[in-house]
Formats: sequence, C-alpha cells, structure tokens
Amino acid sequence: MLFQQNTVRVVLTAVVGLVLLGCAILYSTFAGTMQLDVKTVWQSLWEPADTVERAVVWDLRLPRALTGALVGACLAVSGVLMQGMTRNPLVEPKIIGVSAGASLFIVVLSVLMPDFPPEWTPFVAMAGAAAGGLLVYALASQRGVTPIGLTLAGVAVSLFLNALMMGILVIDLETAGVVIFWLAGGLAGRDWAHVSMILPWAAGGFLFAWALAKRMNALQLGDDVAQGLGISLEKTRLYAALITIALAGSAVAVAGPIGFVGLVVPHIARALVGGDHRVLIPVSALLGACLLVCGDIAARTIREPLEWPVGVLTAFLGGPFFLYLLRKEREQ
Amino acid sequence: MRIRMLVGGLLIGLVGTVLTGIKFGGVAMPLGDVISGLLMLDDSLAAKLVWEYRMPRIFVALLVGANLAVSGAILQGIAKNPLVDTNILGMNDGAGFAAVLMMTLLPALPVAALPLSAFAGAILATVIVYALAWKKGMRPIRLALAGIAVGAIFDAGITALMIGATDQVGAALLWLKGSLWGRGWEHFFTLLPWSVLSLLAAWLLAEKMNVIRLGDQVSRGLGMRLELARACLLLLAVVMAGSAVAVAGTIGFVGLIVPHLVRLWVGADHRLLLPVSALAGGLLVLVADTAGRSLFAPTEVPAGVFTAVLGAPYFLYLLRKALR
Repeated sequence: MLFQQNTVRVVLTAVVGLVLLGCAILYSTFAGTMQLDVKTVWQSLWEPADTVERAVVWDLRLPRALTGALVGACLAVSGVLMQGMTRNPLVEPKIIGVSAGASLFIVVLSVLMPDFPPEWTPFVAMAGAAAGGLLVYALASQRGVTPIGLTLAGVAVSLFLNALMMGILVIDLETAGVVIFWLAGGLAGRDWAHVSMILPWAAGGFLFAWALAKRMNALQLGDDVAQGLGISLEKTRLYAALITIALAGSAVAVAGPIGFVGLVVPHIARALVGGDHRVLIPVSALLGACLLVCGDIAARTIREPLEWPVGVLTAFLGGPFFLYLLRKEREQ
Repeated sequence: MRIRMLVGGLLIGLVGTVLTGIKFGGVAMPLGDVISGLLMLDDSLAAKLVWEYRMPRIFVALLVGANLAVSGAILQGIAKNPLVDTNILGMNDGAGFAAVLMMTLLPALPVAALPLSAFAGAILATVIVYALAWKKGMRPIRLALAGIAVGAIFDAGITALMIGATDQVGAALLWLKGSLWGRGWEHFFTLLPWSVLSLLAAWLLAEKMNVIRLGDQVSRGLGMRLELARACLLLLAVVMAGSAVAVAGTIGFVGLIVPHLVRLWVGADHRLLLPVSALAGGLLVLVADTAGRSLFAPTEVPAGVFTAVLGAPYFLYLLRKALR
C-alpha cells in the first residue's frame, strides 16, 4: 500500500503545500510598505526588543498572515463539506447565501450595539450564516434540490440580504464607512485578537470535519448506497451543515465575506489527491491557507501603499473558475 | 376597459407621486408652496427648490425607470426567459465598471460622455455572457448563472478601481447602489435623447417582437430575418440599460419585476406591453426614490436598495416556478 501512486501524490502534495504555506507566511513578514531584510525579521521574531521592526513583524504582519491562513482553511473546508453534502460542484459559502447572512447579522449588531464585545462576533455571524443557509435550502428544496436551483436560490437570497444590509448601512453612515471595506473581504489590520477569535472554531471545525470524512465518502456513493451502508443521511447532512456554518461563520466574522476560496480550492484539491474526504479535508485546509496568504501578499503589494481587499483578488480568480465549471457541467 | 383603467390608474399614481416627490425631501414643503413653486408665481425659494432640485430629479427617475423596464421587457421577449433582466445578465455591473473606469482614469470628461462608456461596458458584458452560456442553443438558467458570474467579476473590478480613488469613493458608492441624489437637468438632457430614440425604436419593433414570441419556425416562415431582428433588439436593450446606469447607477430588478406584472395585466402583446411597462417602470423608480429620500430624512436610502429588497424575493418566486 505504501508506494501506491495515490499515496505518493498525497505525500507530495502535503509536503509541497506545507513548504509553500511556511514560505508564504514568512514572506508576508518581509513584504509591505516597510521592507525588511532576513536578519531583522529573524531577530524580531526571537529576540524581545522594543523596536519598530519588531512591532511591525510581531504585532502586525505575523498575526495578519496567521489570520489569513486560518480564514482560508476554514473557507476551503466549508466548501468541501458543502459540495460533498449537496453533490453540487458550484456551491460555496458566498454563493449559497451563508456569507451574506453572516454579514447582515454582524452589520445589524454593529448598528444596534456599536459597543458589543468582539467575542460575540463569531456567534452572531454563525447565527446569520445558519439563517442564510436555511433560507436558501428551504427555497430550493421543494421537489428535490437541483445543483443549479440551489445555486440560483443562493444568489437571489444573497442579493436580497445584501440589499437589506445596504439599506441599514445607508441609514447609519458612521458605521457604513467602516463596514464597506470590511464587506469587500480583507485582512487589513487583523491582529492576535482575531487569531484567538477564529482559532478555536477552526481547530474544532477541522477535527469534526475530519471525523465525518468516512460518512462524507459514503454520501458520495449516492443516497441508496449510503443508507445501505447503515449511514443516516439526515444526521450526516445535519452534522456537515453545522460544521460548515461554524467554519464559514467564524471566517466571515474575522475577515468579512471573502468569496470563491471555498469554490476553487476543493476542486484543485480533488484534482490533486482524489475524492477521499479523509485526505481531501486536510489537503483543502492546507491549500486554502496557502491561497489566502499568497492572495493577501499580492493584495497589499500590487499597488503599494494602497491595499486591495483580498476578496477582490479571489473574485477575479474564482469568477472565471465558476464559469469554467458551469461549461463543464453542461457538457456531461 | 381593464387596460384603460390600468393606464388611468398608473397616470393618476404618477401625478400623485410627482406631487409627493416635490413636497417631501430633505425639507418638506407646504402644499401651497408646491403649487406656487410649480407655477413659478414668484421668485421665491420654493420655486427655486422645485425647479432646480426636485423636478429634474423626478424627470430623471421617470426616464431611468422607463428605460430599465422596457429593456427588461425586450430581453425577456427575445430570450423567452422569465428570469432575465439587465442586472442578472451582468449588464449593470459591466456598465458600472466602464463608467467607474472612465471616472477614475479621465475625471475631466463631461457627464455626457458617461453613457458612451457605460454602453461599451454593457455591450462587453452581454457579449461575454452570451458567448459563455451559448452552446447549441441557450438554456434560461445557464444564462442567468453565467450572467451572475460575469457580474461578480465586474463587481470586483469596480471595488479594485475604487481603492485608489479615495476622493470619489463616497460618491461612487452611492451612485453604484442606484441613487438619484443630486441629479440635475444636465443628467436629464444627457439621458433624454437616448431614451426617446430607443423607446420609439422599441415601439416600432413591437410587432416584430410579437412574431418572435410565436417561435423560431413561425417567425422564419413569416419571412423574418430572425437573427438580425434579435441582434437589433439586443442592442436596443443594451443602449437603454447602459444609458440608465450611466445616469443613475445600478438600480436592479426594475427590468425584472415590471414587465412580469404588466404582462399579467395587459397580456403579451408588445404594442401594449412596452409602453405600459415604460409607464410602470418610471412610476416604480420614482416611488423608490421618493421613499428613499423622505422616509429616513435627512439620510437618503438609494432607490436601488428599495428595488432590490422588492425584486430579489420576486426573482426567487419566478425561479421556483421555472424549476418546476
């Protein structure tokens, strides 16, 4: 078993992915408006000293890169679970209304209670994510859920929730100024507080997702086969939905609605290591982290000193990919 | 009879909304001032307020609504697709992208140049969406999905452009959400020729659209050059949507809702459908704008927010019907 072709590919992908992620996180501590050399970064990482360089590396760039990695991983894994449980290659948190629900709830909270404690944000975002997802599912589920029906219902619900949100924002222009850029999906100014906000949800979500991997595999064989294998469809879907909402909700709470990571990454991961969820879930987490850290480096260096929200870059990448999937699906 | 009542009701609603639109706003005016201002009985502040600020805005709203609604009716007619409107096909985002591109690259150009770049953007988006969705025929739902993806890409492009242009971000944002704030006579006169010509052209082509509705074979049998007719109509729809977006930003869903509701009332004859849609569309945008600037005064809610809150659930309703 050890030297089967797939095992080699998995190991290779994992090693390359880990190296890439390490390099990306490291590079993101060098790059930026204040360019630093290797020695300075190294010193400021390990030697406690009260310098500007240390503050830039340790308090600004490192937590930002780690937040990006966690957010990317969360989005990618929630994409894997969504695509797996709906058997729909076109879904991901932003398309299916989950991100829009989370955003709306956060905006409502920040308008009603500007001083709410930040620890609440993930819970509020998850409640919103659940509401958005349920609404879409309820609308699409009569007479069977088709992939395209689910996608279109998700898009329409997102448009509706976004319009409500814009309405609320326009009434409260003070909050709007801050929230508009958050809504584009970005990592600017993310610090250790954000890392510790998302870390427990990410870690718990990955563990539960991985524990669900065998059931997800069975689900891919079709409802009849899965039931024949003694797997409860409802329970599996319910668990997967809960994990998805925890992952996507906490990602939105920390970085805003970043689109298309959950769409693109699972497809790439599947092409690299195949459809076994025991491998697919960790590899997707790794690749999602890589994608978002690299994307964020690009977003803040392309037009220095200006910053693009990384969500803009992922949309440039993911929009065409969505179209490609759409064409491919029709040919089948 | 029913149609006369409908048109009469729409006209009464229109006059009522116009008067309401003059009365309310940042400052509500007493009715006497509205009338004396309208008639320009004196050089009062009221007359200035009515004729320099509120009237042009009301007229712009009417033209924009008429353009969007007729554009939607044409698109639904040629695509034989109930889910289509300029927003879903990515036209609005394409036009918005081209307009923002022009505003940031060449800020010195006059307002009148905006429609041209918006047309270019709308045409580009439409061509891309059609090319991507077309393969051995067109399925309505594919078209909608392709339009949504292309729209998302152009939307990201708009955000990317706005990051550099901090000065214009506030204005551009309000504009993009479909606001008629600060629209004056120059906007009205920019839009007027495009609107009049294309509404006229649409009405002249109404007969052809009735034939297209009968199916491809029948229309070919009747001697129609089908592809040419479709291309002309599509271009017309793009011109109408592009000029509306150029002046008022992306007011979504007007082109989706209005033709459906009007069709329920007057039937599918385009000679009636198109003019009544123009009337109803103008009324809808005017109502949305009037509500937006008076309900939460002194803050303004862009008209596009209202139409989206109304339109997205309607889209879902149509979608459920289409999926059955």
